[in-house]
Amino acid sequence: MLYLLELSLQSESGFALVLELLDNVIVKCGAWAVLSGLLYHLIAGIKHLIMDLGFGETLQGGFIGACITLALSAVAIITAGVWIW
Amino acid sequence: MVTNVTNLGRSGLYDWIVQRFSAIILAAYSLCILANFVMNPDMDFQTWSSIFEGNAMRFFSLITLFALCAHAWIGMWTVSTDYLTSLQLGESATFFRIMFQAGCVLLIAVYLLWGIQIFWGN
Repeated sequence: MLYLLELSLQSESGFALVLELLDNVIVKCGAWAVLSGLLYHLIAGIKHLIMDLGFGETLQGGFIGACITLALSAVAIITAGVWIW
Repeated sequence: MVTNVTNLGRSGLYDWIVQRFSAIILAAYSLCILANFVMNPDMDFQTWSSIFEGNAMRFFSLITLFALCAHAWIGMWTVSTDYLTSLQLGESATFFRIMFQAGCVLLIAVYLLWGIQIFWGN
């Protein structure tokens, strides 16, 4: 990922090369995998912070929070996949 | 009292608060980059490089990089001290845990230096 970032910021031809690399199915899958992990971590982390503030700390609240986290993550990951392809 | 010698702040409470503040910085940066992608559906090199060129964004990127390193270290330390213990690995646990943590430190150091080079080089 850092290599792609460096390449894309180095020069116009580097940016074009990154676009070319991202055309490859394997690179696309890799990018989607990384993005999926990041999105899930982000959403679960926000849920964690909300619980730190004292919301949803009951057994039932925890269950609802977990369901919302999983549902939002699924939507975000599918959206990311649509965006990549 | 034996204090822990491998966690970031030598104190659970300090680590706890650093983890939360770094989390907020990382989330803000992620959303900022995401917003840039949404606002520029046809991203080209000029737009892309101009996003990272300004001084404000350079500082934001650098602070995020520091936050990322602290966040990653606290996270990996927590995971390794929870799951790489004598309970799972027996007598060699300390050796494997220290090796794992050393690997994490090395990786984080590479990310930090490489990241600074990308955002502040040239």
